Amino acid sequence: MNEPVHPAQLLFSEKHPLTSVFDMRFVVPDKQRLEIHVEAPAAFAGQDGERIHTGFATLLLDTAMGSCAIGELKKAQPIATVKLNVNHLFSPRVGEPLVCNTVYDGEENGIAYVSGNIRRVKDGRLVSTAIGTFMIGTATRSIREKTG
Amino acid sequence: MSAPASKLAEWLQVETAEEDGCYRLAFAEHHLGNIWIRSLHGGVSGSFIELCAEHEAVKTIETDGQPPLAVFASSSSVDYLRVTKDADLYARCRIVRTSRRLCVVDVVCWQDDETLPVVRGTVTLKIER
Repeated sequence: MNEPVHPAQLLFSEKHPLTSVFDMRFVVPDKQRLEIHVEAPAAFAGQDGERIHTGFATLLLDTAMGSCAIGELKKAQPIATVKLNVNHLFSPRVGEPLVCNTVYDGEENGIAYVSGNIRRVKDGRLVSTAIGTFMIGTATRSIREKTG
Repeated sequence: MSAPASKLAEWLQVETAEEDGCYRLAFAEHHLGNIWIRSLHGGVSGSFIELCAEHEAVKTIETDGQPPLAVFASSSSVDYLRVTKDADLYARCRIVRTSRRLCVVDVVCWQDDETLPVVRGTVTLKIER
């Protein structure tokens, strides 16, 4: 039997431009948790070309925590990142398998709170930790409508 | 204009702008987060802020004396102020404090109008000398 598809997998399908750079494998260990497995992509290397830039961890954590929040929505609606706090502990090498773990901490007043971290698969070494805050239902007026 | 050199900077399509302390992310389709409203991915803005802060810190430290062996983000805190659109993103960096081992940089980003910032962030960088 096929595993159920996480709602965020529909957003980050092969049609999403981000997935042209790295493949994400979604795992749902239990309710309120989501794991994303990736290989550290060469396209996100830092200046030495060997280790991944911290910016990749920021990008992955925002994606994974936002996906975790989408998975907890009672009805389909857009979400938007409101705040992202990230600590970077270690830079993995290009090609190393990584796992991004996220936990849905709760929702109050239309704002979802999610925490997450990235670990290196081979030894569990902590790469980054984060807390993300997401607005459920995005603003109807974007900067586009104010400035054209 | 020149670009901060790294694969990430290439992917983000970042270049230094003419004004001192300013950077530009040239919009590309792969920067989108929500493909229906065509807004930039929050992680793309966050990465851009970290990259700009890093580059600005290196530039400042080099100007003040010996170039550092490495500068990398230790932490970042990013506030998303407005919904972005599918257009270039600009950043203005301000060094708040540089010590021997750390540098704190504030970064404010906008798209068409600097008086309407879309994202802001503070990055703490570790300096290795």
